Amino acid sequence: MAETPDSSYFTGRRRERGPKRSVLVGDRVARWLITGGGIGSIVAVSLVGVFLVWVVLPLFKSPSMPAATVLPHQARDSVIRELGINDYATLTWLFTADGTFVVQRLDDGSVLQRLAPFGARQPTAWAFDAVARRCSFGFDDGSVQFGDIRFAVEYAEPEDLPAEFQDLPAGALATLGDRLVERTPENQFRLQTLLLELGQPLALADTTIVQLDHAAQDNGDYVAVLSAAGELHVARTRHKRNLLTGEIKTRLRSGRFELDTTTPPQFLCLSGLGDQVYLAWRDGRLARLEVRDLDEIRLVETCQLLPGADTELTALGFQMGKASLVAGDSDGGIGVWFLTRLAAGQTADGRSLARAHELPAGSHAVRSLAASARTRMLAAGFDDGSIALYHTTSNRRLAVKQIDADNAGDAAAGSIAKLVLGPRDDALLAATGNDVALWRVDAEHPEITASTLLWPVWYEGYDSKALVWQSSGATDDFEPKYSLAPLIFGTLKATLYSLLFGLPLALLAAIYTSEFMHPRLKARVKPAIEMMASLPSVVLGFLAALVFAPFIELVLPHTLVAFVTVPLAIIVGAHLWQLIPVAAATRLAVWRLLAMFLMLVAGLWLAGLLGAPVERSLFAGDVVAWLDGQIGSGLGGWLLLLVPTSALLVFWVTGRSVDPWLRKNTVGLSHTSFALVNLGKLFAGTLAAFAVALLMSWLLTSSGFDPRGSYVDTYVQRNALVVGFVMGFAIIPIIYTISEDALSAVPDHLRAASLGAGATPWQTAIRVVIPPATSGLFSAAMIGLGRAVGETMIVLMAAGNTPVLEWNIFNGFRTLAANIAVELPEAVRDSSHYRTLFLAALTLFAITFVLNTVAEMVRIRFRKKSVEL
Amino acid sequence: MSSTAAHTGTTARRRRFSAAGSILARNEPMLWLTGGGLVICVAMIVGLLALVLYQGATTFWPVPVVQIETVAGQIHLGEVTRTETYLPADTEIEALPDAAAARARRTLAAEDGQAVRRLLRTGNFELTNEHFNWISNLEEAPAGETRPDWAIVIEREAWGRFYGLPAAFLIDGRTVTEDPAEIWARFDRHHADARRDRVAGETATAAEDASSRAANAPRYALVMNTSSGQQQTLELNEIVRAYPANRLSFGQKAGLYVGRWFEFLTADPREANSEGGVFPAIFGTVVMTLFMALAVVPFGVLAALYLREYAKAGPVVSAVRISINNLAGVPSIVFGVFGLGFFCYIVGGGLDQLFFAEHLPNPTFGTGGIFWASLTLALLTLPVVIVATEEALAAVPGSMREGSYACGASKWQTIQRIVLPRAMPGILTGVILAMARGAGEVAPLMLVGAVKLAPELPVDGTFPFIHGERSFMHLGFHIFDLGFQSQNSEAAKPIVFTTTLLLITIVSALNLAAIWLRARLHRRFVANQF
Repeated sequence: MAETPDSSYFTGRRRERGPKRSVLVGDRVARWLITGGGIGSIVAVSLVGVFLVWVVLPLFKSPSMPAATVLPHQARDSVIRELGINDYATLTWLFTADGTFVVQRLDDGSVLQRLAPFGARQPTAWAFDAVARRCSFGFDDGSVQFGDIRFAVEYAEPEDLPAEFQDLPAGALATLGDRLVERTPENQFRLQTLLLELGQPLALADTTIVQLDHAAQDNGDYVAVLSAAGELHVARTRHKRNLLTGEIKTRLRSGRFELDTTTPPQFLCLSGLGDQVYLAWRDGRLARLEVRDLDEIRLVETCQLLPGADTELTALGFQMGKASLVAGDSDGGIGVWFLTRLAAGQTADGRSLARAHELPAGSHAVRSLAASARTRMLAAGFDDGSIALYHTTSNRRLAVKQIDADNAGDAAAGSIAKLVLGPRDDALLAATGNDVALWRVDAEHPEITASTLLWPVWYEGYDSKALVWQSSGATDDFEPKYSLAPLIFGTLKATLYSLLFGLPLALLAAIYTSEFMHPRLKARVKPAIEMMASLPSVVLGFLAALVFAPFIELVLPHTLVAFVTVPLAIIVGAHLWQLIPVAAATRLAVWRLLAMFLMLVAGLWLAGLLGAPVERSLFAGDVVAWLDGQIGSGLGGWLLLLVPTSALLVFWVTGRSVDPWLRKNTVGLSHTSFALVNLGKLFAGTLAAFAVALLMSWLLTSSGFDPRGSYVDTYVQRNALVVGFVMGFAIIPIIYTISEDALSAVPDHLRAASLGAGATPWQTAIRVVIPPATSGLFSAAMIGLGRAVGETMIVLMAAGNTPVLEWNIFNGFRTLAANIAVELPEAVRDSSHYRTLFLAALTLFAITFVLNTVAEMVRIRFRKKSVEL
Repeated sequence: MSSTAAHTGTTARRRRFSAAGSILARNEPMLWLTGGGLVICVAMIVGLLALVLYQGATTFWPVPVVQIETVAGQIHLGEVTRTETYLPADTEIEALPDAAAARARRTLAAEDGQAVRRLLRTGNFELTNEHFNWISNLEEAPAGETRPDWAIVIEREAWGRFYGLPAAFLIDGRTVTEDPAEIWARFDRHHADARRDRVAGETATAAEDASSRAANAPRYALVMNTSSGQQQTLELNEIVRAYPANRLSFGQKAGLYVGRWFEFLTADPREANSEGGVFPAIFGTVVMTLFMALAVVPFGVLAALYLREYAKAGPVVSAVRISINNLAGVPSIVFGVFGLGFFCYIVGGGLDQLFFAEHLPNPTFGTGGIFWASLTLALLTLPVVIVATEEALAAVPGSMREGSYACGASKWQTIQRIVLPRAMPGILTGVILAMARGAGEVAPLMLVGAVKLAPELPVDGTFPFIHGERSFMHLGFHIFDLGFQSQNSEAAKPIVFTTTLLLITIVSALNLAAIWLRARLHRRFVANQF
């Protein structure tokens, strides 16, 4: 505001006051606040998707293994036979060729303990079970000895320890006598030491034991040994407590089996349940013996583990749970085998071994194998000193590592003789010669890949590849099965069946409301249907599960018949209505809806009447048993299924041929008489439809097709029919409202022009109003689809929640949404299960977002187009 | 349309027919099919509401107690809860005595093989290990059904209902009377006292010594004969309500009905939620919805104001608008997953680390709670509020803004004094719709803090009064839990229906309020257009 003459102002006077400072400040603050808050809330909402992605991404992170640290091999001069590792990957025990156990720290390699439990009497065979923390030893006198081997952990308060430990930083290690001290983040001191407790020796074989394996069960140990004489001994321990002394006496119950072979087997494995013994030779031959009955050990199966003739079997071991065999060969190939019922009858017990997984091959001979104690992870050591980490469920190699030549010393040269995976799958310890190398393993979700989520996987104990969702099991060695396919299938099934029911109803209702209804009535009916949208879905789910499902089960034949009788009754009603002269019909138009309602009631009544006779004649008197396939033939089912199809067929044929003929030949007939003719046509048409349906079903049945087994099968109370019906309550109002809006948005001058040109209301609706509104109707269907996909409570309560892959309308299913609701509260945070459920949520999010975006785009286009009209 | 009327036109060609053409062109059957669709939709909604209304409204009405004697000589006393026809198995008939079996076969032959059975709520669980009994009409003795005059229904704190005939009334262990009418009079006189004593006994703290408890020890007891001839002594303070079902006048029945509704609305649940009231669930629902509204309104309005008044219109803003619209269609369970992962585990876990480290590893905020539930639902309903508010802002005529600017008002002054007041009903509509959606939503709550039984209310008299970390009960979750996970689902059914009725009433009332507001808003703008 420069000081210029007054003439420069519009009013001729200088403005006295500017805006108050407080107004300006208020305006600025408001702008700042609204912009910040507005953008903030928009970002917050969109954070939902971002966060889901953030949680899901680690699932697909490739596992990493930093370079190995090789322990100095001080104080060890003999070859390592076996090794173990503690829970925190800080300690290892090494069982060496001189029969001693050496406990070493993994950070600096210092030796904490040295145990020599055997003295002069050295074991000739041994087996260690990392899960049960049991071990067993065989001796040259044919006896066996069981033992416990584990790291004992105790916690101490800071004041109980010597002064120099007081300022130990969290996570640091220190040695106290033969114990390792570690300060935990919770400010406690963790003390660890190796505990090795051996039981008394038990006589089993007569000569030297050359091979031994054992399986620990809750009620005792199972052991299988191979003696130098070529005899297989299988034994179970029984503990007997002396009532007087309290001393526990261990006895062996054993059975034996003579091997009729000249070459002794190289490998002996005893299954985790103690019921199968596997003997394998270097040429890949494998013999399976059933040892459930110790007095009658029998050879049930022999097979060849190796694919090629000139390869050799170099390693054989078990997966966790000791049910799947892992065989490594001299070409670096690794196969996973387990018992299936594939070739039933070929073997004595009806089961046979199948090569379920073929892991990516290494370049050198497999020398050693190690199974994880908690997952299906597997480590293999090769002849060239490299190791590889696998996951058998996902059939993939997680990492390949070579001992780093620079800091390995002479270790790099040797092959990997022994391997062990940390109990938490976070460390891998490998022994070459008398050196030990340690890798940190970071593989959080090795079992999840895009292909395990979507394609069939051969799970342990299954007879073939399958799509299964089963996230938890009864036992610890359960193999989790995370296939989203059955859940996505369930979601599709729910959506399909509910749209099949809801979409036609909603569209028909919308057409009637917008085109044929009195505006005053419309103002009442539309909010009533919209009220349906506000019904909480938990209410619908409860009614579906506890009211409709039992009711429909009770009146199943009537329900099925109603699908035919209700439309029929309404069409008959229309033909009867036509009998009324035009002038009267126009006057009575207000009552037409009531008449329709009466015909609906009539249709339902007819269904109630016909239900029992139809069940008797078509379904052999019991529709549930019929569906189960126990009784009756497929004829009745086909008939009921084909009636709508043949009705459509007959309708089409009449429209093409009979109607023009009628027009030509009924000239001069009065309105009522032609309506009567029309009624006769309906009657004939109905009969024809049934006849066509009967003919088609007879043809289909006699050519061997039965409707049962695919879309129609065994009846379960909570099924897709019930869900489809009740989901109708959830999706009808949405589709109805949007499509009614779309139809009403078609400008009225089009209708006026059409009616003025002599078209009937029906012709106007079908040829003038609906075509421009099609995109609106489509977007309504899309949005309804979106709602059906994400609906949770109805399917959770009424769909039975079994994740099966069946289109059967009378069976249940499990959807993505219901699965999340059931399992997420129990899922451990950040576990594979948790992240997979987040992936399910992300899938839902993506599906609905895409559907809604498509619908919105279409709707915007439609709006533009309808403005142009 | 009349076919006979002569054409007055000059065209030589006369229309050859019209009845067939007209009727076929009107295509009444197809038109009826569309109408049929509408009729089915309306019938579905009306039928569903009628079902819930009927079931919910009638369950509290006292029904007569019947006594049924079977041919096997068993006597059942209870309320008929359901009647259905069924196809009896042959073994069932063979198990009957000969005469009865012959009669049953005759009945079956006449009834097309179908028999009728009734589900009798017989109660007395501690004696019979059953709450319900199916009784078929085949096994009923002839004229075996009576309505004992003095049959009494007793609702108790534990063990479910008790059905029986009064035998004696005890005071301090001595029999005072054995006459039913006298017993009943005594019961009426002492019941209220006994209940009060019980409440006093419950509130008596541990500090009070045993003698005061002894003083509160139950003095009054009722001895009942059951239909099977057993005798059971019930202490009066354990009895919630008792009534001679077959002697009630209409007024007494109505009183009982109202009393039960009152209990339902104000009392805590008992008997694993299958009896008693749902007050904590109502309270939880209301508090959670209010918290949600408090969280969603400011942010929703800010976002809408930004989009409508401050942001420059362009492709970015319309893309944001479409996305927000789409978020309204994202399934609620997805928001629940987000709430659990983000609010409970990350934000709540972080709060625990910072402020409640001494309770770890037991989570305080790091698990489901009413705060997180409210925030989750706020996020879920944010799009609803944004869209509604935007519409309301857009409906304010531009002329009003221009007038305001012309008078020299600043932008914020215009928004504050002109736009917002005008848009208020529309915004309120959106908020109410959001609250209706929030109140009826259950799926996300299952993940973020709704539980079947919460020991404490989320808002109470102890500091800091609002306990956002507590889990809470919710009407919708209550329905899910009772209907789906209750072990005695038959006994829980009545209360599920009443809870359903209550929830539908709340949600519908909110929706109707929104509709009403919208109509008002519409009128106001049509009337006040510049």
